[in-house]
Amino acid sequence: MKSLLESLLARERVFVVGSGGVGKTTVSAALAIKAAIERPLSVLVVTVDPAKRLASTLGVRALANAPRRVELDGLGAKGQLWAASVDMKSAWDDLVLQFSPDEDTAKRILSSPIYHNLSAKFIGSYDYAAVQVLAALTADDRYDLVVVDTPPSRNALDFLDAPARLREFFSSPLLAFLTLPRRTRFFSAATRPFYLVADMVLGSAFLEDLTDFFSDFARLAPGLVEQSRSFSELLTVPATGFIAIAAPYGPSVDEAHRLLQALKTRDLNAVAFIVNRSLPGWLFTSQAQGARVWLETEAPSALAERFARDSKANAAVLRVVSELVFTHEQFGRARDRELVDALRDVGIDLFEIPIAESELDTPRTLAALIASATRTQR
Amino acid sequence: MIEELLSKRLVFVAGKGGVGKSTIAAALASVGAQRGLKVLVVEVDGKGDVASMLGLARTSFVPQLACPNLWVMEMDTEAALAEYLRIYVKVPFISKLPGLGRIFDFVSTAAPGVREILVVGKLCYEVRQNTYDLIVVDPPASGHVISQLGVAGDVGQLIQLGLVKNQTQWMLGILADPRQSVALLVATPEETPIEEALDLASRIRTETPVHLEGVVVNRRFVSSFTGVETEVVDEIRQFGDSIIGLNEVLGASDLFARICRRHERNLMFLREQLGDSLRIATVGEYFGTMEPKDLVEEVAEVLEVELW
Repeated sequence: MKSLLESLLARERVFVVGSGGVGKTTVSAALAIKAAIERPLSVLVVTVDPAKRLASTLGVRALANAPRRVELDGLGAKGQLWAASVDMKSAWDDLVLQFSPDEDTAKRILSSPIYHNLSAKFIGSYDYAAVQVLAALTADDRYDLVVVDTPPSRNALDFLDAPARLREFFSSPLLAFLTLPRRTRFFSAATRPFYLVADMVLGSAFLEDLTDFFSDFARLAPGLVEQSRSFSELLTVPATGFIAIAAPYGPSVDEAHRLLQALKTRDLNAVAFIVNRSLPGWLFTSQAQGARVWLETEAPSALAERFARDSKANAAVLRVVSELVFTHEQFGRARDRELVDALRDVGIDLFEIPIAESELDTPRTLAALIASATRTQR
Repeated sequence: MIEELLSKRLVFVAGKGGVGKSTIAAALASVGAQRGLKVLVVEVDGKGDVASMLGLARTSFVPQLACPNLWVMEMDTEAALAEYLRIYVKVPFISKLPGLGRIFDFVSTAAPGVREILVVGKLCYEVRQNTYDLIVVDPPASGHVISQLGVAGDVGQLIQLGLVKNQTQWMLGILADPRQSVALLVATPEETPIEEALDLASRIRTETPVHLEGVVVNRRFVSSFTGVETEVVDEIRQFGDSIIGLNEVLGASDLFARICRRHERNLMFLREQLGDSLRIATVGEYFGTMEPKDLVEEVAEVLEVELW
C-alpha cells in the first residue's frame, strides 16, 4: 500500500490546496523535506506568503523568487532541498522588464502610480504574479520534484483560473475601448453614458492616467499570455498532482471536498486527501470507556487511603477524576465527528497526520510529521 | 471593558481563514444585540457563514433580520455601485443601463481600488446614515482586508479629482478615528497562525488608517491541573497496568496538557511581540461538538467576560 511519500513521489510537481489555517504551508514544507531526505532528488518547495517562522525553520533568513538551498545537516539526506516564495512586487517588476517590447515602455509602466498600486496591493494581481513565477519554476528541469503551497482555497481556484483570466483580460474588447483615444471613446454612442458617469465619479484625470497606463500595459500581452498558456497546460499533465488538505472536522473539510470536486471538473489529478492535526486513534478504544467508569465510581475510594484525611487532596481527586473523564469524552466526540467527516468517500487515498505535540520548528520535526502520517482505511 | 468596544460604530474582524473569524464576528454582534444595540453584520466575502450561524437561510444586499436587533447583509459590489450612482450621481436610470455590470466588472478589475472603495464606501455610508449603532464587518481572508482598510488613502492619492476624491476625505474621517472604527484581529494559538497574525497586525498598523484594538486568540486549549492535582494524576497513573483502558484516558489527558503548554508558549510569544499596548482575549476550543448556533451563544458569553 502506498505511503504518503510514495504518492508524492509519483509526480513531478504537486500543488497542495486547502482552506486557510489547516497547516498547508507546514505540510508542504514537511513533504519536501521528507522527499529530499529519503530520495536522491532535487526537491523545490515554493511557498506563497510564508510566515517568517517557516523560513527560519528551513534555516534560511528569507525566501525569494529565486530558489535558495536549504541545508539538511545531520539528517542523512540523500537529495537536496531548495526553497522559494513568491514576492509579488519583484515578480511583477521582472515580468514588466521581461515582456516589455522596449526599455521606454518598461520605464513608463514601472514609474506609473497605477502600476505601483496594481502590483503591490490589489486583489487578483497576486495570482498573476504567482502564476508567472510558478510557470518559470515548475518548468525548470533542475528540479525533480516541485511542491507548491497555494493560496487559501477560496483563492486557490481563482489562482488556477488566473492564466485564463489574464488571457481574457488582454483579449477583452473593453481593454481595446479603454485604450482608444479619448475623443473616439467619448463620441461613441454606446459608451458615452458610461464614460460620462465614470468621468464624474472618478475624475477625468484619473481616467486619462488609466488609459495611458493600459496602453502601455497591453504591450506586455503576447509574452504574458504565452507563459500563462503553457502553465495552464502544465496543470493537466499526468506528472502534475494535487493534494487536498483539511483540518479534522468542520468547514475546512467541506471546503476540501468542494476543491476536490472542482479539480475533477477541471481534469486535474487529485492524488491524496490529508486530514491534518487529527487525534491519534489509539486513544479511543472500547476499554477506555470501562476505565472512565472505573475513574468515576471506584477511583476516589481507591485513592482515599493514599490521601488519607486530607480533605483538600480529596477534593482534588474528585476534580481530577471528572476532568480526566471530560477530556477523554470531548476528544472522543471530536474524534467521532472527525471520522464521519473524513471518511466521506473522496475516491482518493486518505491520510491522517496526527496533531503535533511539540513545536514544528526544525527540518527534523517536520520530517517526523510526515513519517507519522497513517493511511486511513475506509 | 466590552462596553468600550461596543461603543464603536465600525468593527473590522480581521484574520486568516480557518481561525474562526466568522464565529467571533457573529458572537460579538450578538453580545451587542442582546444589550439593546442595533447591530448590522456585513459579510464581505459572500460565504454566508455568519448568516447561517445566526440561523438565516440566505443573505442579500438588503439587510435581513436574524434575531432581535441583529441584521445581516452580504456585500455585493455591483449592488453597491447601483446604490452609489442613485445616491450621489442622482441619475436613477443610469444603474439600469444594459451592460453596466460588465463594464463595471472590467473597470473594477483594471482600475485599482474601485471594488474596495465601493465596499468601504458602503460601510462608511451606513455609519453616517445612523441606522445601526454598531456595524461588525467579516471581511475576506487577511491580505485582502489590508487593501480594503487602506483603500481610502490609496485611492485618495491616485485620484485627484471627481466625486470619489471628495468622498475619500469623509471616509478617512470615519476610518481613522479610533472612537468610531477599530480592527479586531482573530488568530489561533498555533505557531504559523501566530506568525501570520503578527504580520497582519503590523500591516494594519502601518498600511491602514484603522486603529488595531486588540487580538482574540480563538480555539485555545486551557490547562486544568495544577499543584496537588498533578500529584493525584501521578497516583492514578499507578493503576495504569491494572485497569484496562486507563492508559488511553490518561494518554488523552497528557496529549491535552502538551497542547496546552504549546499554546501557552505561543501566547506568551504573541504578547511579547505585540507589546503591552494591545489587549489579548482568549476563547477556548470546542472540538466541533456544538451546533453553530449554540457555539455562537457560548462564545458570546465568553467574549462578554474576556473582552476588556
